[in-house]
Amino acid sequence: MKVSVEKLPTSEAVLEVDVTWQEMEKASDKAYRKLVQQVDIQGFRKGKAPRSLLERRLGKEYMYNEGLEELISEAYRRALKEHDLTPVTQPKLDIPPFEIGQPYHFSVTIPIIAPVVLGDYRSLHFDREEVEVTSEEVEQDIESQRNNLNTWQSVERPANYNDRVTMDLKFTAEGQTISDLKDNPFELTNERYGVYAGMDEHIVGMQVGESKSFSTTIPNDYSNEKLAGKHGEYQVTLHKVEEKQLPPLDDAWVEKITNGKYQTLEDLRNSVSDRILEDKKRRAREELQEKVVDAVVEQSQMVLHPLLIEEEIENALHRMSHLLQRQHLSLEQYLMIKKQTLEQYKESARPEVERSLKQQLVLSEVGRQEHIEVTAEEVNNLFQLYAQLDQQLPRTDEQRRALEISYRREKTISRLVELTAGPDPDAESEALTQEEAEETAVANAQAAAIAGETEQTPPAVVEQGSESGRTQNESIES
Amino acid sequence: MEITEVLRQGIVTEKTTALQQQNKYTFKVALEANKIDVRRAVETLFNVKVVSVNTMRMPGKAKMMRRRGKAPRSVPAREWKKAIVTLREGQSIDALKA
Repeated sequence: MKVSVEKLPTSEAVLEVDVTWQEMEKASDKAYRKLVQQVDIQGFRKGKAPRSLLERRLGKEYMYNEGLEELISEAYRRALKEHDLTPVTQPKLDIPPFEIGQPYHFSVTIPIIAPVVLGDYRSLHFDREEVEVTSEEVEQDIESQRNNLNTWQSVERPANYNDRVTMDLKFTAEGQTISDLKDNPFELTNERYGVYAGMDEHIVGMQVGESKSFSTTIPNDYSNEKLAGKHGEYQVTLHKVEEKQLPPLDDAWVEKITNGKYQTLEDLRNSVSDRILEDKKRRAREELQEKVVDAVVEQSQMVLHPLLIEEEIENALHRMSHLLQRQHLSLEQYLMIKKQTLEQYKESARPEVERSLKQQLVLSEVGRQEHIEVTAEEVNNLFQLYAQLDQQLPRTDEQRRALEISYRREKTISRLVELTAGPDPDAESEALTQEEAEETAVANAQAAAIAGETEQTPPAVVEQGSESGRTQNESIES
Repeated sequence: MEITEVLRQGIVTEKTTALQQQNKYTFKVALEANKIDVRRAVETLFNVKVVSVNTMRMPGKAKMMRRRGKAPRSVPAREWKKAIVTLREGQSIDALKA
């Protein structure tokens, strides 16, 4: 059997295989010996029937075809091994009909993952962004904490914005009563959306006990299309006006809200400042990672086979439906909500899938060139980390592999960042990066485990849905 | 006996294919046919020379007869005759050969 391999620029490999008739005979003989064990022929025990009888039963061609199949898969396996090819999907076969006694020729087209040509990523350089915390940011944070813990104080004056009013409200539109509320609290604001939009300005200035009727226009983009853009009639009676009372900003308040963890305002300021700094550092690190990876991908050259993308889209779809199942939604229902057909959805997922595929291929190539290895010990540590998070993972080979792949990826990214932006300036956060990397690895591995994949990519859940779709998305992502 | 009525069918089993090694071919024949009838029939129909014929009456084995509404009972199946024909060296009957 002669096999020649030719790699095409379209990230495909073509095998041209020549087989002599003797080899065909041998292969079909092997096929006979396999088949005879399975076929039942009257008068013979299993596996004892002569070949001529089996041929009469199954057809002569069948036997040769069966042998040919064996030859094809052998040629395929050998080509993959000898030429180090990674197939994407099932190969395409070009098998002409054979003639008995003649040498035979066939060809196999295999979509492969073409090797990635990396750019000179070692010469890339990025600056680490300096992060700092201003005192305004600290004050803002504390202020919002104060705002969340306010109390309401009843006052004798006309209602104003930011007051809380209690009132009866009857709201009709298109001759229908939309809402009929008694003693209902509203916080007056000049940024109100939805069906009550425009109500507040009429209520501002009203006295306790006063009644008023007025009308508004319901916004055009309101989700209920029957009501959008229509006039709404209000009838309100004001019962109570309350003013917002912020707690005093002093040490006693600090002690109260932190359960005695911090005694003075100064302590609280410091801790808030530390937290914001950590936050910013983490975000800067993530941004840097993303920037580096994007740049390296940008530099690299590769060809993605269309079938590879197709397959990955299917995978993404599969993961998505898993995610939806947790929300007790089927994929069909989700698509209905988004008003998309399956085809449209797949198409919208394509750019993201392509991006993550490229990233994945590039990172694995970088990992190879940088000799990044994940030891069994490290994988064990991940398992333990998981156990600490109260999530026992099954110690299966599959799980192990998923963890290993995602952890290698994290390590590769860290290495890339180090190469292009120098070592992390604060030594302390070095350990943190490690820990964080493990955390992300865990999250990634989870996704991989859900999808039952060995390869892992971040799920392509990028939504740019319609207005009504958005609320739905939030619930899905939360 | 008419030669067309003698041979009923060839018998192809593991055992009879093994017998073909000794140039012996096996047939189911009419119960009333004798060795001479079988020899004549095989020689004319397959155009070969027969050296010897062995015949035997095969007993009908007990079969269960099941009919709707009646209790199943054991009924003997019909008896038949088997003939093993030895051909002259070098000759064969391709229709039966495996």
